Amino acid sequence: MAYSRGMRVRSTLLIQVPLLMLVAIVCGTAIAATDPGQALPTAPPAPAPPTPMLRAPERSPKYGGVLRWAGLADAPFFDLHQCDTAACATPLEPMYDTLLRYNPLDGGQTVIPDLAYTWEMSSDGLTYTFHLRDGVKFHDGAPLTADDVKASFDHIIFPPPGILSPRKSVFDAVQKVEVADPLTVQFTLSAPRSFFIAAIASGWNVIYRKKTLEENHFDLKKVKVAPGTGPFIFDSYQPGQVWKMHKNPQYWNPELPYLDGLEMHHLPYGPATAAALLTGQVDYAYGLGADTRADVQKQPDKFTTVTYGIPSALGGYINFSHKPLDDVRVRKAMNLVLDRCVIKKSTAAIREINYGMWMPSSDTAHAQAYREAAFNHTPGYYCPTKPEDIAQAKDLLSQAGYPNGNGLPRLDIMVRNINFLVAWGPLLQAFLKQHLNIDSSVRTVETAVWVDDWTKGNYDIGINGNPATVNTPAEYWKKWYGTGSSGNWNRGASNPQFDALVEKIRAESDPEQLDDLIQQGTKMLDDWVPALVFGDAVIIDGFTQQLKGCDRKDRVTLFDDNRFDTCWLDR
Amino acid sequence: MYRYVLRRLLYAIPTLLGITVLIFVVLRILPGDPLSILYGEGGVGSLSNADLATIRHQFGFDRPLYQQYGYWLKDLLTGNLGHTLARGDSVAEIIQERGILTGEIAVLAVLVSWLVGLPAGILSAMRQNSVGDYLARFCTILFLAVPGFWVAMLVVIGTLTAFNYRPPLGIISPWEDPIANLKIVAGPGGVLGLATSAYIARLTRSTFLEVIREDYIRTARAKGVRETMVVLHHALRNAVLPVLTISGVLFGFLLSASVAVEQAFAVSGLGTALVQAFQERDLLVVQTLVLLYGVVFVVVNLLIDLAYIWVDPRIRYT
Repeated sequence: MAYSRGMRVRSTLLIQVPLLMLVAIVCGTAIAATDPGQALPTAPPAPAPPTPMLRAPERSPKYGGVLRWAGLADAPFFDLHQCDTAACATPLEPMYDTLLRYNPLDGGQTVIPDLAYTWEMSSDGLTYTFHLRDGVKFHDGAPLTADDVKASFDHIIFPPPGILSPRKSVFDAVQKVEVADPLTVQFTLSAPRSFFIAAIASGWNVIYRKKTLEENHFDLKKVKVAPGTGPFIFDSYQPGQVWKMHKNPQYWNPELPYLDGLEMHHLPYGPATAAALLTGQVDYAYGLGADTRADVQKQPDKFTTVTYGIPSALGGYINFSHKPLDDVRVRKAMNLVLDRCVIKKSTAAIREINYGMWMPSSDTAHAQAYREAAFNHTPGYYCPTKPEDIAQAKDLLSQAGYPNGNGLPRLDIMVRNINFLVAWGPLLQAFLKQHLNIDSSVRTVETAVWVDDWTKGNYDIGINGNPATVNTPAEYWKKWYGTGSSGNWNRGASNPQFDALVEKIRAESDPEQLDDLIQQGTKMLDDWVPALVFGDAVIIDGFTQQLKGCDRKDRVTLFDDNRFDTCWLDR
Repeated sequence: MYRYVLRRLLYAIPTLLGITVLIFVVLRILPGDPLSILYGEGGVGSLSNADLATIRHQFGFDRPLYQQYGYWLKDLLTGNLGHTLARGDSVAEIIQERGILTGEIAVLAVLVSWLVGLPAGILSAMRQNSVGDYLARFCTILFLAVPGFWVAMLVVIGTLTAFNYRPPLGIISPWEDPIANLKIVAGPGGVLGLATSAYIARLTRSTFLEVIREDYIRTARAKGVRETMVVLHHALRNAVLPVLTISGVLFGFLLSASVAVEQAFAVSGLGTALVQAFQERDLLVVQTLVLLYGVVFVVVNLLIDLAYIWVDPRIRYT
């Protein structure tokens, strides 16, 4: 697959260290208003936190009011470091801060200071030093120190036995986290990581108190009020119903938050949230559903809708340990006959998705040029599927020893019982039968059964959705297709060449080199086909026009910007 | 009478024990590891076998089944309903908080079923083969045939599109805000009541048709008793006994049907909690809630049997 470099978008802030340094400088000027020199790698630690700090973009934001939010808020447990669903991120993140954060004013496209007001990287890219704001207090009154930051990141990067850390692989190069002084913390890496700052800023990496972690044996799953330093303080929680929080009057940013409180109601994705918004029961609805978005859009004077992608791979996960799926020719044949437009349309009424490709559309920094160049221009990505692709698929199957599908065992397609995924089982079955004469059976199973059978390898193709943490192939390719990765759901899939390439991508900071490596990666994936990617997830939010200060129309992140501290209600 | 009640309560013990055994065994047979749900695909994949064994031990999943069952019964008998697997929420608090909504929905549904079903059945019997009779029979067949959750969805969509109305969010107790509480339970209670009224109406019609042909009814009419008195005083009291019996059975149906209807109306009752617990494979919560449903069913049917005495003074329990 070839595509022009000139087509590429150069907004690679999140993965290029030099540009990240520029971001730090820009943030220092526009938000942290610190001396730009302080953000440079060679600058000494700054003596005091800079001002002014983050604020709403409007000239005169109003204080007061309670934002009523509806969406997935039924957290399976309360430890953000251990959790990996939006149902944890959305209700819990407003109570916590992170070391750095994605800028809520540009939809999370840049990284800005948070508890660390500035940071430095050594010239070899192996040491990062973060300087903490002085005077920050946890909700229980304890001061924030570097010990708390170290304990929190140790919890993520070096979890004790039995403690989950779904994102620790993002920090695989971190050798140690050290306290340099009470307000300075240092990360030492074994190899450069171009996305390190982006990973640090992830909304999941909230700072807990060291004491809280120790008192609970580093397991906060059942601790619903672990004190944070965030803009909102826990009030009450009704399981499966609502979280209530009030404004933190001692918040380190005196300008924020504008709201007096938050009410976060748990409602299932889709019509229920839309109904709550339309009837005025809530001000913000997360996950409207494609079918109900139109109802909300009919009232543009009252509501705004925004659509954004999340780094995810939805589709069929292949069990390489079952023959003939270990044969790349069979996998390539199956990939060639997928009509990605039909797949997209099949869920249009329920859930909007983007065309399934090796790089999700949410990765605006890297994927856009690849997606534009490949979609409808290269084999496997034509809509509708081209006869040449089908002929090639049949040929591949013959070469594998299964002419016209003869001799192939009946494939077991296991589908996780989620409304939009359910449509894809019969669809895949139809593509395989119609074009390749491959017989298959479809079984739709509950999540518990899906995970169970996946763990035991009792499936041929498992249909599910898999999110990632950071919008860069350096992270999501390793997670989804890396050998031995817990997020690689293609059982037994291993490609040492691809692993080596991903390691190069993870370390590369030069934009040109990175582009080349990513291009090699997409080519390699086309040749290897570790999975059948049907799409990547899209989230549709709707909110009242009275909500200001947090316009999310350019939002590129789901898990990292749920704090609502710059939001205010124009009432 | 007291001996009868005591005997019935004693009979309930093996019934409830049977329920505990059945639900305990069925949940263990069903596929799906609770840890798979708790930790997700990535989580389970990232934990070592030793870690998983430790976690199973912490939750007691590595104990022999008879021990797990024994501990559960012991906890129940000592009033300890336990906690949810993932978040550690108290099951007793869940029942206390959500049970009121489901209870209200069930009671409201029974009331609606009687208020709609009894008059429809009586009118249908009194005007046998009239247009009203056919209409009433058509409606009862319709409500019997249409699933409650589907009607519920129509009601939700209809009220939203026509009146821009949606019931209040969350759990609001009747003591906190009676009007808001009524708004939450009215929809599911009404839908379930209409569905159940079909049974009541059909049974009332058939028993009424038998009763109004009895000699004592003919005698009452011959004596010149007003038709209203004949129907309400003489016929109804005799015709209503089977209806009472079926109401007890229907109460159990209502409890189970409320699971789907609560989902459709997004009401956070016990039904919703049961579905969620089942999806999360929170076995303890599922077991306890199913047992609770069983206890309620047994108690309601006992109360209905006792209500016979009030309806028909000729009945005596010894």
